[in-house]
Amino acid sequence: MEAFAIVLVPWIVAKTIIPLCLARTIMTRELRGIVAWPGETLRRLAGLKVLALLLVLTGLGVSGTVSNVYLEGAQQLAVLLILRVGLAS
Amino acid sequence: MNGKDLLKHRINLYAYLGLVVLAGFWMMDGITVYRQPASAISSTAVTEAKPATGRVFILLLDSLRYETAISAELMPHLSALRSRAVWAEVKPSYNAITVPCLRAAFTGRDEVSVLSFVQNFLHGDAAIESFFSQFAATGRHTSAFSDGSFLQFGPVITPSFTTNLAIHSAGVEDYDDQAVARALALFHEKQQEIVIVHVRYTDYAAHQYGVGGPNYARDFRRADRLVAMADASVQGGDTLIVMGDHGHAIDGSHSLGQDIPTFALYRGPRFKLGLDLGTINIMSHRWFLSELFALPLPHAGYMGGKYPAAFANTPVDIGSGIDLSVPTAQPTPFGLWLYFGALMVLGVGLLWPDHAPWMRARSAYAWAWLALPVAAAPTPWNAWLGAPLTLFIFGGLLRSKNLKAWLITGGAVVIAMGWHYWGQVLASVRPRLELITDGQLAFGWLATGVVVALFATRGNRRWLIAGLAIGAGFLTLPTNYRYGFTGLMVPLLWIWLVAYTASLVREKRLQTWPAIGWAAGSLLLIFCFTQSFVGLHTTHYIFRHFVPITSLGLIDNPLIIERAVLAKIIIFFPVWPRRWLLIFVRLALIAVLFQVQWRNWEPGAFESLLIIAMLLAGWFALRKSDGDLAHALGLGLLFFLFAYCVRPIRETYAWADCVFAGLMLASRWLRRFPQPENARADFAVLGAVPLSPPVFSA
Repeated sequence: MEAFAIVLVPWIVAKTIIPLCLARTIMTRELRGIVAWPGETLRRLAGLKVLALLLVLTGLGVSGTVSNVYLEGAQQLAVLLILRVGLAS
Repeated sequence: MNGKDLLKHRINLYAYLGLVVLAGFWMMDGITVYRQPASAISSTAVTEAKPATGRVFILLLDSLRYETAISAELMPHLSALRSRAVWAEVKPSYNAITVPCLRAAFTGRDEVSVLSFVQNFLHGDAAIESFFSQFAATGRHTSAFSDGSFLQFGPVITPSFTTNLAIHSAGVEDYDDQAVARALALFHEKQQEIVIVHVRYTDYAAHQYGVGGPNYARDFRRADRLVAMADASVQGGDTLIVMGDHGHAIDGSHSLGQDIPTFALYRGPRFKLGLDLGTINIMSHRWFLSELFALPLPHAGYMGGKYPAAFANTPVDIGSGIDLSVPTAQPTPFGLWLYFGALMVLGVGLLWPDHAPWMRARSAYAWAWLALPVAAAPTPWNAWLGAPLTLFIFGGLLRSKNLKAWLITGGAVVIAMGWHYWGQVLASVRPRLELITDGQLAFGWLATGVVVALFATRGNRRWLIAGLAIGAGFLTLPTNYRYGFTGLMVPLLWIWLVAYTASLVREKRLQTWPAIGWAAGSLLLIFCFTQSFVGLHTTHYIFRHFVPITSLGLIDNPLIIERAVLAKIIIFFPVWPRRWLLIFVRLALIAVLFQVQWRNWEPGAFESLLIIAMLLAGWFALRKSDGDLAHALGLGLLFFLFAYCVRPIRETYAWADCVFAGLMLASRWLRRFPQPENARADFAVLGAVPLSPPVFSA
């Protein structure tokens, strides 16, 4: 069954971005008519963070990938890539 | 860009980011994970193997804590057996759970491969190079009775008696005891040179009861009888190995980074009697087995120790044989980081195509993609090919550009490489960062807040926050700890509020009592709602819980339910409605969501789908005719999906409610005290906070 785990990726992405959608809904309701959702800025910031985090991880990993910092960073990178999907629109 | 081009650009960018991340981890795995071709192992094993006598029976006791193993009270047989064997305290692998520990024990390597997770995601279990693959290549046989933990070694262990009986199932003790009897019977058939049996209920006892309780003692005494049985049964020229995969803490836990030792014992004619080896690491099991069966260690990559003194007819000096140092990375050429930095700069160009001088050529996108495939080459080929290739690509992209474009591009590559080396600096200073106390951290933020309050004006505050955000968001350790970037997002939100407040004071807009009262009240509420997120605590990369920075009354975590209810009321009632229907619907939604999120009521699949359908239909039908009601139903739908689809610990919903309410109140500042020229940057600060990965994932 594990061989088919990849079919769950869209589900994992969809459920991970729900809280982000909630936060966005609540904030845009408050600021409707005042300022638009800064989607492009956030997309760029999140993209830059992905690249910067990857660079920092390569530096951390040189001295050992068997460490919680490296693995936490990898985890955060994966979550950030998923959350970036929530910024698509 | 028109809509079609924009979509194309976004897909292009996302694909590039995803692939560059994969390329990064592929390169890191290439540097740090040892891979030896199976063909090389096979040929080495066949040509260098020497004849060996005797067979081996391995009794694997899951979660065998060292102190428990040597306790004459808890495990009398095992404790006594030490006088007739070589034994040691064993450091488990970094990832102290069964499968990685067994992999480390029988491969001789303790490695973490991020991409192996992805690989398993795509292909399921994949076989790995190990002592067993080497052993099978010499035509000998291994059999294992386990729960699937040995499937990682592939078909070289055969037959593999795999049980589907879960570790916590009723009767697992009887089942595992019978498995030991069956394994001993198989061993005496003499068809298998190695027979392994995995006793799992000891792990369950540790988790369920913790160390020291009567049930814990009962189960470990029961496992001890299996040691006596194996000791009586394995005789003559054969060897008995009793080993654990990992230890456990007092509460029975064991996880990533928990260095709690386990135990190993070798008893047989080849071993000395009553020799304590001290501390060895779990990878050393491979050396012992290699010595027993006269097989060579792999030419490279072995991370365990060598203990010739353990064998009979050797000197007793064991000090020189102990080698607990673990090599982690192969030397990497400088060109690799040049290549990788250049890939990042091309990625930045895709993020800011209008501003990056290297992206102004017509075919810039194609050139950026062309640089990527070389990353798949093994190290150091990726460096030797990638560095000149990317330099060539930049040369092509900047052809006919002025000196400024060249300098900007060169500077960007240098900064990207600097970011990599900054990671190396962070790794070296991390032990000191671990010593930062909560008080020191709080003082640091307080001092930052004071400085910001002294200097922030309406004109400069967005630049102040941008500077702080670069420091906190891009230069800190990527941990979930309080000093990692995810733990810094909420303090950054507070500093943003401090700057906002300071600018309003300087503009003399906080002079009336209503304005002061509103500002002070909302600041207090935002602080109460979000202060838990400053003390993010994790246990070795698994996020555990929030720790409030203060434990006073209303803002203490024990009152998280009350805070969550207040948060929901604030979210659902941004203004007090004038219609009773709206009040009733919103209160009903809050009540239902509370019951679902707190798991007082767990609707089944049918009920859940019905609720989702009703909320969705209500939102869709009313979105034009009754915006307020439709919005309430839409919010209810999202909250319900959050509760139904994401299943973290239930307190997480309450913490998330608090973040939502804090963000909502913070957003209201932009409405209450408008500063139009800052509004876009302000909204970006607020929008970045929910991008903190652990906020909603506990």
